[in-house]
Amino acid sequence: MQTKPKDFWKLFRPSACSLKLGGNSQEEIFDELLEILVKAKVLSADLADPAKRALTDREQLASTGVGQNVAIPHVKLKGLEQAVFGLSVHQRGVDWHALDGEPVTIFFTVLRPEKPGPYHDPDRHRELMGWIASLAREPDFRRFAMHVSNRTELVDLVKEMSARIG
Amino acid sequence: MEIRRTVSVVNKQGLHARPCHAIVSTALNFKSELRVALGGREVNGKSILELMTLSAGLGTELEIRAWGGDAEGLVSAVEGLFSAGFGEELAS
Repeated sequence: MQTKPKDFWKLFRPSACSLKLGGNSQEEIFDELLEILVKAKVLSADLADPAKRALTDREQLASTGVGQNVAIPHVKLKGLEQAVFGLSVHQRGVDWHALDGEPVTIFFTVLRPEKPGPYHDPDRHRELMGWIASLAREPDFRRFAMHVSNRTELVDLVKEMSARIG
Repeated sequence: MEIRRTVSVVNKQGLHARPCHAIVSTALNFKSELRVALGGREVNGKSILELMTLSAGLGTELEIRAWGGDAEGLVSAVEGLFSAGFGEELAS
């Protein structure tokens, strides 16, 4: 099953998104992001702790804050057969040690399998990460994401913007 | 003064988020402007998001371009990152 770029938006399910992140620290944010994924049944509960450790370790290597109020915490996770995606909004913003010093209000969470397999192609993953970056760099996306009314609207925004970025 | 240099992606995972972060982190130490080109596209080399949009994989050749008083130093520093594979696993 290979998703084409024009369908990348479908990888984001409303149930795996949140408009109400409230944590004030990296640990609190990771707890929230993972709880959302477990509740949405896209991540099994027994992988939450390993995922949190992997995300924390990755953040130590270099901030996943990519600037302009966006962070893309993303790791390989043993036990996953296919990648898991979440998109969440923090209205107040949280310090994420981004190089531009700006707080993060938009989090793209990406957990991917450790190894290539029938549901995971590293080249497609790289393409997908480039697509996320193309989306995130659009000022309209970042602006509108802060004002959607519900999670379905958030995913609809991703779908609309994805037609724009091609 | 504009300096241009061609570099190659020699690390297996390509120009993913962490190498992009390394380029920007290094480039921010210099005043000169930095742009990175792939094919017909040119992006701001001081923006992680823009660099990530290149989706440059192993074996990709890019051109780094810098303008300003310390352009030479900037280009050398960025070239060094590429040739070291950003400290990551290189192609076997």
